[in-house]
Amino acid sequence: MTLENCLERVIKAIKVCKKKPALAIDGETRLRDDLAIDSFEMLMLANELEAEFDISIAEADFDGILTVGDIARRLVEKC
Amino acid sequence: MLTRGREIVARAGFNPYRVDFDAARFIDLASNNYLGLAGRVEVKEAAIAAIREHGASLCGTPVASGHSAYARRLAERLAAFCKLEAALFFPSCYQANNGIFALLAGEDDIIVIDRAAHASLIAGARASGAKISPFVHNSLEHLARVLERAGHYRKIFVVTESVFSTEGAIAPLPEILALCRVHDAIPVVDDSHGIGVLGAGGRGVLEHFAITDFPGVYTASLGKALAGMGGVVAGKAEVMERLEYLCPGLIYSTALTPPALGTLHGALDVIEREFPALGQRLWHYRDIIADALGAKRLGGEAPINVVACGDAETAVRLTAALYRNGILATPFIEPSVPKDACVVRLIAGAGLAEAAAQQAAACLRTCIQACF
Repeated sequence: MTLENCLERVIKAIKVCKKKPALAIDGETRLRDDLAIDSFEMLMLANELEAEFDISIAEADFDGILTVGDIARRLVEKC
Repeated sequence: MLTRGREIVARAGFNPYRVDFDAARFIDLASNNYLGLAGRVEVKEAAIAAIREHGASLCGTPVASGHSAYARRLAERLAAFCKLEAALFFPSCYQANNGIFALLAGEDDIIVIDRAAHASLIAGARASGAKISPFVHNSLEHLARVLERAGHYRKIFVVTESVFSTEGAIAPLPEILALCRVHDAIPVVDDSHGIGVLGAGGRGVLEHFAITDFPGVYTASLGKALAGMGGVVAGKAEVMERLEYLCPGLIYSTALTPPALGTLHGALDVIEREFPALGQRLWHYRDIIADALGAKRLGGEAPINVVACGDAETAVRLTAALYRNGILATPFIEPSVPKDACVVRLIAGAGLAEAAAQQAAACLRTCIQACF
């Protein structure tokens, strides 16, 4: 899986969680500051990503991430 | 977070969480006194009578000295009021929501929970050890998708509130129950802002949607429209029996006090006798305030008005302006709501005079114009 492909799928999952298909998101978009994603919404996103990538994600897997791109990079490492 | 909160309070010159007020000089749109029962003579007298007859406190947990015949009779009355088999009192609804999952769910189970559910439900679900899967707020489409992926869990719980009080939206409970049936899931609904408010008789969300034979777990606060203190968990008798003897939040806490029970007794008397008139006034005041908010009102269906403020500073500034004009309101900022979706909540209870509701509406028009 390429980083670009992974990023695209992460953005798709975020749009599902935010219920906003037209949201402008790229790799630099900050999860908390730009998208107002809190810890509970982060859990919802993790579940969406588990289904999208058919993997298991622990809450600790996303420790320290700040941007959408950080998630994609973490997932590429994991998959 | 605390520092940011202090900055906002300092700039507004007003701390909405430390409001000192003389109730006689203010119009209260901040409390959850939906029907005005907290001030009703009959309700106060019922609390006093309960103290006289049963004492100020039972000074024990329900399984020790707190399981009185008086409490049992009242629990049966409340269960019948909600059209459920059995009910249990908890010291608070927070404790009820926080405690039930530890007993009902475990690590082989999944709790699918509305993303906007109350903190007590989230904390309780998280503490159970079950898999937690939030679904998009009030989205049946997303809930269905999450449930389709949950088939391999031993038990599936679907958790929501009836009324989301920071927006006034009512959950689509009949459709949620239909999904629960399809996926063999157990519904859990917190009706804290529905009991005493929704339904033709004020019996809550189940009456509102004409739901009979509710198969899940029902919780509610007794400290909102019912004007008392404590919480209730209700549902099937066999589930309540299990909770009664095993739920730590219940068996290790002092039982609900006689005055709290007496208040509930008095409140149910008034609701059963007068709800059509009280409810009509509540919805009338809701419309008066809604008109004043115009486009700034979030579109909830419940008798709650919510002003969409965006950032926390605007929410606190509007609350301060209202306070200076004799109106009490409640701002909700992060973490209660997302940081970009701060609101001010207004509940114009049936206990207000018509003139007070009109005065509040006029004041809201002025303050909203000044703050946005």
